[in-house]
Amino acid sequence: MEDLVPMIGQEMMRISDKYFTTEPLCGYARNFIREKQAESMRFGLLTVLHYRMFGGSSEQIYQAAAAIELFILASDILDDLQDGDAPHQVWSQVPAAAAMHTAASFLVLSQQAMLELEFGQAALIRVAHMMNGQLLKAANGQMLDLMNAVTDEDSYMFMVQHKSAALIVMACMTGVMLAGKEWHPIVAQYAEEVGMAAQIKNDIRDLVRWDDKNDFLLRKKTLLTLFLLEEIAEQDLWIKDYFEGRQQSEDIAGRQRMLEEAFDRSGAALYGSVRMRMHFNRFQELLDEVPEAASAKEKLLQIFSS
Amino acid sequence: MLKDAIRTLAASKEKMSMVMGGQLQLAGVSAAEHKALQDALKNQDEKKGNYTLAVWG
Repeated sequence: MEDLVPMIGQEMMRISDKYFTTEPLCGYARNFIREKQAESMRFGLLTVLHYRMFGGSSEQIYQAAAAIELFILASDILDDLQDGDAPHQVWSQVPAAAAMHTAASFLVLSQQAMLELEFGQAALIRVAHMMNGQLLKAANGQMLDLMNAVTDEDSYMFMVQHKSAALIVMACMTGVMLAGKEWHPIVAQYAEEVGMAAQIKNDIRDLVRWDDKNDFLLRKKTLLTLFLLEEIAEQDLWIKDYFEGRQQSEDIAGRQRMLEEAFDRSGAALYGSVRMRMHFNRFQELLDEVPEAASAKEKLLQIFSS
Repeated sequence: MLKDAIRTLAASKEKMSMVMGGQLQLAGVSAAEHKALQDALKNQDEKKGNYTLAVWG
């Protein structure tokens, strides 16, 4: 599957050059796509793999995968601009207005690339309808995350289901539907399960790092921080004080080790890991229920594991 | 329930080892939760070939 990554990247660049003909948009777009090419293209790979799993054989699927990745790139840029926590990214090093405009242009470019495909008008309309439905679902989740609107575990799971899982469902289902099939409920379900697992994994990572993306420093409510705060030990009350604004970042400087110990000692780290694995195990069970996935199971697992 | 079970295990390395070895069944924990718990505990020395989920985003 890795050999497909450069092909998807080249398609992104080709589509961008076709429509972004004027500087500086053309240059910004190329730079941002180059940055994306150096990272993973898992969403696009999911589209290609599902297309093939369900019997598709057209080479145009790479353009569809590029369209998916253009949307993901736009989302990443907007997410980084909103959070202001990725100064190393190339789009954080240009004027914010230019980055925002390029991201918005990528959103339209993604749709245009999809509508250009030669899969028949009816199929394209069905796919576009499905994609927009998932993207709008993700938009709801993103706003909940942005506003730190999570209050408990149920609202956290609701946010994750909308924000993260919807995009993986979109990537998989685009492949299924371009292969001429209808919405596949089990594919949707396993994509959602793996999306939930992936987000919990991200949350585990974002808790142990001690930088601008640390969920604790940002006072973000996740499965792990909620677990810890639910029954906090007396020696860890400083964590609650910080979370509730009674202590500031300068008060807790240098307490990374103490925080990690609290997450281990309380069981919060283990709880996150267990919940992540429950979703991943359920994903694997559901995968076994889809006969079309049998031959591609190893490749799918590689995409999610690499 | 799962949360209580995990708090109990976090406080007792002995019980954690017993769950890993399959010698301890936790009350109120479903089969799926128990399997995930064992997977998570074993992950500490996960062998090559076992799939772990990559970080996305």
